[in-house]
Amino acid sequence: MNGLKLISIAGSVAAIIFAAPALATDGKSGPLKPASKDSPLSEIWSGYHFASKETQAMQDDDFGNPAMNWYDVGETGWSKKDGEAGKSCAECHKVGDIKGVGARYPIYDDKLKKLMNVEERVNYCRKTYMKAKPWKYDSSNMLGMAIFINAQARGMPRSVKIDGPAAEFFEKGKKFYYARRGQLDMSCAHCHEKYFGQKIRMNILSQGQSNGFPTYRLKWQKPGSLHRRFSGCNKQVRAKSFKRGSPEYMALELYLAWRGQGLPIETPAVRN
Amino acid sequence: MSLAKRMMGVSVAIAFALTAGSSLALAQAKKKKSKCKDGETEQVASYKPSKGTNLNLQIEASLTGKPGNPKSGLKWMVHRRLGNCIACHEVKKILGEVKADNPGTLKKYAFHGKIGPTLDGVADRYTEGELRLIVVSAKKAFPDANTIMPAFHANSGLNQVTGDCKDLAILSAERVEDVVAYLKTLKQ
Ligand code: HEC
Ligand code: HEC
Repeated sequence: MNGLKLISIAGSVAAIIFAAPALATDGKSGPLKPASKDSPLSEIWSGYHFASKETQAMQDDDFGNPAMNWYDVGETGWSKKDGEAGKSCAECHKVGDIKGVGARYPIYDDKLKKLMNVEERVNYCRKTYMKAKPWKYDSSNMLGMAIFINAQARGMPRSVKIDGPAAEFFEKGKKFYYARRGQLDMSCAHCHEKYFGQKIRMNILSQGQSNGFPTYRLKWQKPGSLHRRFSGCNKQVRAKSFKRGSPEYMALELYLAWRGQGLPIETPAVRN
Repeated sequence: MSLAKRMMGVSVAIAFALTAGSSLALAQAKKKKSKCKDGETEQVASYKPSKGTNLNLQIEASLTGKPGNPKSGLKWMVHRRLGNCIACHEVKKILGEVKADNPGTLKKYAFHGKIGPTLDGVADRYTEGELRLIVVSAKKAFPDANTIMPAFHANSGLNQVTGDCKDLAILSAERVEDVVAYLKTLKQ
């Protein structure tokens, strides 16, 4: 955690030196232009932009950000031996080696012939190299590890690959995104593409971007995985939700990452 | 779903829990209560749309053969699981129900969303039959809008509805008439 705090202090010094224009395209105070002409969005905004001032302030200050407690769990877990092989993550990787993972994932793994997100990768390593039991997505161990890993990519632009063997998953995710579902018969696009920035009862709709996950939600009083959020948004329209790590949510995660291509990673974000 | 089917579902769940031999599974089976329990119904009235004035179509006749009650209509419109119309529509008359000395009325009648147009004056813009069609099925009323507004009196043609709400229309025919009766009072 110390390292990260130092980085953020160094970051704010840099921000003062280089002043405002550099910040205008981080999706927080100013929008990004989509990298691809196929993007359905003309401007890309982080969920940060739509959060209240108080919530933004909580995220901005690593000492006040409640998710940093989980970051600490992840940092400790990184060098903790576990499983029958008696190994830790630290024995196979340096923290520096995993720096960009949070921005690049999910990826199509050629060897495994499937889509892998950070949680699946963590469980894959635990099973294969550590002979340890998998962690559930929203267990504090997994939340901690996913926050620790994604936070190493903080400030790096989202850059997922959607061509080659990933294309099939991208299309599947896109189809999911635009499908009406549930008794209320709404698609993700209704709320997060057509009406983002508008008020729905007490909430202001964001673009539903994924660059802050696992995100600390004040309503949850803890961080939650992206797949937990998917499930919440499904249930909200009274639609069936899918399991964390299901093929449906994996494909949706890839497609959604692409909708936010270029958006800097903010993990751990804080949201209402 | 019929009551008998529901009961069967419960007993299957309990039987499963018992064979699983786990008290945890039993607790979960008990905890999982139905969400569509505010009078949502599998009974959908049949209606024949006719040509409208401001919209292509309308439903001229009351779905129940009787006029609705505007006071009940207001109740369904602010209900968070039923109409919840104010989640998306601002209505000045409903904001007028907020009484400064009664915080309960704030929670119930305030905090309107702005996804759809304001409903103030809506009775001047549409005929009663058009308002009825909008509430029954906004998708039929605004066929080109890819509308976000749910169909409140429909129970088929839906995708992946959660078990508790499957095959149920959100508002019964009677409640649709109540809402229409309230909308008819919204004149400028
Ligand atoms: C009925 C409206 C509605 C629908 C439909 C909906 N959402 Fe959401 N979603 C919300 C609200 C309200 C929030 C919380 C405020 C915000 O960030 O928009 C939210 C938040 C999110 C967030 C968190 C954003 C952040 O910055 O933390 C993600 C990601 C998301 N939604 C994805 C989806 C996906 C994917 C779907 C479709 C499977 C979907 N949503 C469908 C209303 C909706
Ligand atoms: C999730 C959002 C949402 C909800 C909930 C909702 N509406 Fe709507 N409504 C809309 C939108 C959006 C439109 C405009 C049509 C469009 O562009 O889709 C609309 C249009 C209308 C219109 C026509 C208004 C005009 O001036 O053209 C009426 C009347 C109406 N709604 C009544 C209701 C009633 C009554 C309820 C509740 C029983 C309700 N709506 C619930 C989103 C919603």
